[in-house]
Amino acid sequence: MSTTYSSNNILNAVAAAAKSLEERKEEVNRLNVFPVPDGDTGTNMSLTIQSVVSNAASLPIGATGAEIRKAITTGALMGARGNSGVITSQILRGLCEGAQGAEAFNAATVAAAFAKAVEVAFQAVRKPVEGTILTVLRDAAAAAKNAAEEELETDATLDAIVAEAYASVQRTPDLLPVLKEHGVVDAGGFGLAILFDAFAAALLGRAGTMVDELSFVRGAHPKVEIEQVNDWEGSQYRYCNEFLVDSDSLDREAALEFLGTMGDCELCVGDVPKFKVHVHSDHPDKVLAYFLNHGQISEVFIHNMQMQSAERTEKLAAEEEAERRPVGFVAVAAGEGNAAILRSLGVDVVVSGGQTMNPSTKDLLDAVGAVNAEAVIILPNNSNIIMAANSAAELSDTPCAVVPTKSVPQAFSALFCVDQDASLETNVEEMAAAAAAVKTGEVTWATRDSKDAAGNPIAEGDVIGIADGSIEAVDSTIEGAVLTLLEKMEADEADTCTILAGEGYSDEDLEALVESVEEAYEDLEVDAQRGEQPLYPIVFSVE
Amino acid sequence: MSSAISGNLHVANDVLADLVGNAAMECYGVVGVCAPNAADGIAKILPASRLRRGVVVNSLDEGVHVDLYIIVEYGTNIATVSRNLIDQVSFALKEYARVPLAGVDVHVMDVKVRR
Repeated sequence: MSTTYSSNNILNAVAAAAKSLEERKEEVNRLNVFPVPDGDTGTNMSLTIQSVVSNAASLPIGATGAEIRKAITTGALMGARGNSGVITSQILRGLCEGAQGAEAFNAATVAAAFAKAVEVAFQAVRKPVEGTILTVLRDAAAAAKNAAEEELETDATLDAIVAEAYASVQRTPDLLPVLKEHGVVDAGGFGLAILFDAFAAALLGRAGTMVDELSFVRGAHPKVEIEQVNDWEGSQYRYCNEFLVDSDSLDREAALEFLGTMGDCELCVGDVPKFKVHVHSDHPDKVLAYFLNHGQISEVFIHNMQMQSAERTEKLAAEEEAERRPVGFVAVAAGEGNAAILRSLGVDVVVSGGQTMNPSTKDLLDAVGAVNAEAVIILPNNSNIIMAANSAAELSDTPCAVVPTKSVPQAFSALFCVDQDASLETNVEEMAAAAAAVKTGEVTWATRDSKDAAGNPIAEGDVIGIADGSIEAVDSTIEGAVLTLLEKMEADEADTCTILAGEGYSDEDLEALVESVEEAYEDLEVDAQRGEQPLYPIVFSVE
Repeated sequence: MSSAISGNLHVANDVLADLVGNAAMECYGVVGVCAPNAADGIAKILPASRLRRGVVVNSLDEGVHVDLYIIVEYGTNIATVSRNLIDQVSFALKEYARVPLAGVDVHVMDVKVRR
């Protein structure tokens, strides 16, 4: 039943497909939605398939099927250009692998080859985007499978595949919103359909391809838009120029080179006949003149960056001076890392101190006085300092309150719910509630023999894990103590774990620790930071 | 006449790393992102929620520099895939974060062979 095709027939058909795509590559290019990273899909696919043809052309006459498949695969691999080129090369590899051992060229073998192509092509990407060349391939493969099930003749099978490929191309805008927005179909998918089409036409000895009867690509023009780039800060040039160019003769590379001589931040995207140009330059007149020589310009925006930038700097400086915040913060913490994190969260003054070094009431009072705010909240971050903080709050001239945080991670969570527009009382309430929801674990070494919460003995030098003040873990390693603590603290119920690495705890150890925590608790979002606190290699929280 | 409100936009390096990781996931030929410390020869594909582990973002004076650690599908042209990846990553960073880019280094840590 099945027709026999010589290897020469197949090769000629591939060559015809390449030629057809070469002729239509501009049509495919024009479908690209600008700006995209892979901007010349047609050209890239065409160059890839041409590499296949030239590689296959060097085969001796009468080459075996295996040799031809090898030549096609290698040619595609070596010649792959751009994203679409790599996909094409994988599709061809899949088709060749799937055709392995097939004696005849019929519906069943074609379907098998396509099935393999889908498998191979989809395996090379983690997140396949629907509405692209891959979708078209999958749909074509489904058509091939159908044809095989219905035991169609070879020519009917190929026709079915090509028809489905084009139909699939036309459906791409429904799957990929960006295509619909620009009123185009997917470029890569269209390129692939052209290849199938021309291949089938040549193999079956038909003149003309189906694509001639389709009109959905005509009139598709690349869409280029002005979206203003306000990257004005720090440019040494005065004017930011943005405009569109309509030109048949503009060479993008040459234009970019010219723009480079005019200033910086040069950009020229698009394709014949529409381009978008952006450049920072002191000579907008010369820039415009260059492009006027190549065609028409429109939507010209020229901004004087230095004037606008100066205005903004002045305004910013004026604002900064006057500002006195409604609520300011004083926090106690040990370790540079912790202090830096607290400052980044809005703490005005960080008083150094902690377990072994409790700041005095006076230290805290001085800190409160240094804050430029209507009211001040103190975060003691240690149960031993809460008393001193309370007295400082009483003695302070500015309204002052204490949120009784017992650890640095509690302070982090408390600071996240600050509302500068709310009253001092409301803020204290909210912050205390947030802090209370945080369970803190601390890991350190025992300084003398003792007993843990359950009465088990602890030897000097053991690693001990403290969960909210009570010793819950004794271990020989820091990692072990952390994992035991996590279990005690019901980490499987929590969703965030913040780890603060102490002074002397190496980055490698920290990474290993994070990995084992992640492995033990899949759903836990682990955030590791360098706290640099002394004595406690690890302080962490779960919430 | 400008209705713009002055202020600064800061995008955290971790966010840029996520952006880069996701761009890599959509790049054809890249089957996964892996952690850079796979020196022991075992490159493990990171789950989608931890892509930032495989991306190192450094802020330099001239912009951000990105190191990206990936695993590539066997049979694809590694040079081309890397080139595409760099394009895609630069595009994503410029398009979504508008950060100046100092450079992208792609480290191919492993090749995934089918079955």
